[in-house]
Amino acid sequence: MTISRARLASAALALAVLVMAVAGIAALFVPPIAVAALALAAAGLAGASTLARRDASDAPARLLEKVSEQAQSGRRLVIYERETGLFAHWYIALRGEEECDRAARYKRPMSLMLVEPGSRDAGWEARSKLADWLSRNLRATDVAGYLGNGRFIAILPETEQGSTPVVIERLRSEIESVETSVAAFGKDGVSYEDLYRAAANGLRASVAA
Amino acid sequence: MRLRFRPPESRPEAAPPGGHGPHLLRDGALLASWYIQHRLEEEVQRARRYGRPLAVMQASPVLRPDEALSPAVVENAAEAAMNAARTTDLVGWADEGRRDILIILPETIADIARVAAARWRDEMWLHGRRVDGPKWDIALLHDLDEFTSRELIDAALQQRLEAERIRAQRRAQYEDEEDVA
Repeated sequence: MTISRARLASAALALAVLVMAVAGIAALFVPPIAVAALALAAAGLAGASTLARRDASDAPARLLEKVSEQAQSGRRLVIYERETGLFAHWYIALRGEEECDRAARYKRPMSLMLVEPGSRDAGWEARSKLADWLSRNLRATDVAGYLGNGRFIAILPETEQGSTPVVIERLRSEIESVETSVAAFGKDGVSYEDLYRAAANGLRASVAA
Repeated sequence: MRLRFRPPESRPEAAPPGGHGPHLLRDGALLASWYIQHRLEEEVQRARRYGRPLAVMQASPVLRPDEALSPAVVENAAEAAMNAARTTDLVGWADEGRRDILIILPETIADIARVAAARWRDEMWLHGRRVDGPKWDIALLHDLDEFTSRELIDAALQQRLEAERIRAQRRAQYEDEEDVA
């Protein structure tokens, strides 16, 4: 258990006041005890004042630390989209390019998935449900975002195209009316733009069918 | 990984609405500390999940108590770090004060990471010559998939800085030591 300096200072002050009261009563009967008690009370007051002063000198540092923490968490928010809490579209584009570079350099699998509610007229409730599913069910290493107009995107690093039906099946088991399309790095393109275009075309075809 | 910027008109999907955009991830020439720490957490999770190699390097200036880093030195150190990094590496400020520099090396085994650290040391030395900057200690940590949190990585990096540092020094100091050798 830790006790703050402010609490110690208040305790020392209270003790000093108590000792002074005792000294006042003792002065009526035994003057030497009163002198000793007054000295003790003075020491207590000095201690309390030092502790209080130190506490005050730590305050700017603590405040700075707190403000810095808040600023850090505030700045983190810029990469998220306001309505869904998923990553913002500009950040997804940036990460998409990074992931393609990495997949190409280290010859790793990667897939890109687009998801839309079954109906284009689906309201906010359907979109919110999808956003919630994506944030809860994708792996921590996947990057999910909202592109606007009801379209969601997920970049799935280390994922072969053959593994994506499992994710889609899970999604469909919870949200019935949903359209999906997947593009695989290598097969459908080697850049984010290529993969996005391939997946968007696939989505368009599935909606038309 | 170095972030690449292209005009928004050539990348409509990335056009920043309301002033948001990739520039917000940066602090000067390097990635902002909050973002590189965010990515470090992600990279560690990924390395652990898929058993991929991951290394991280940190450079810290050795300063006297009354010494501060001048903007020219900071700029030079950032440039040296960018030169030493590969395109898939992430280079950023390790702290809010823009003093220590962190490089995340995804998909990097220990041997390659050692080569990268030596290259960074050389770059720091070369850049240090231009501005007569301070010594820089470089700590290298590999096999990060064994670490469970960012705090543990930070502690291990500090330990390495104190124990196994690879030092890039001022030119005069470097030449003095060569003469002694």
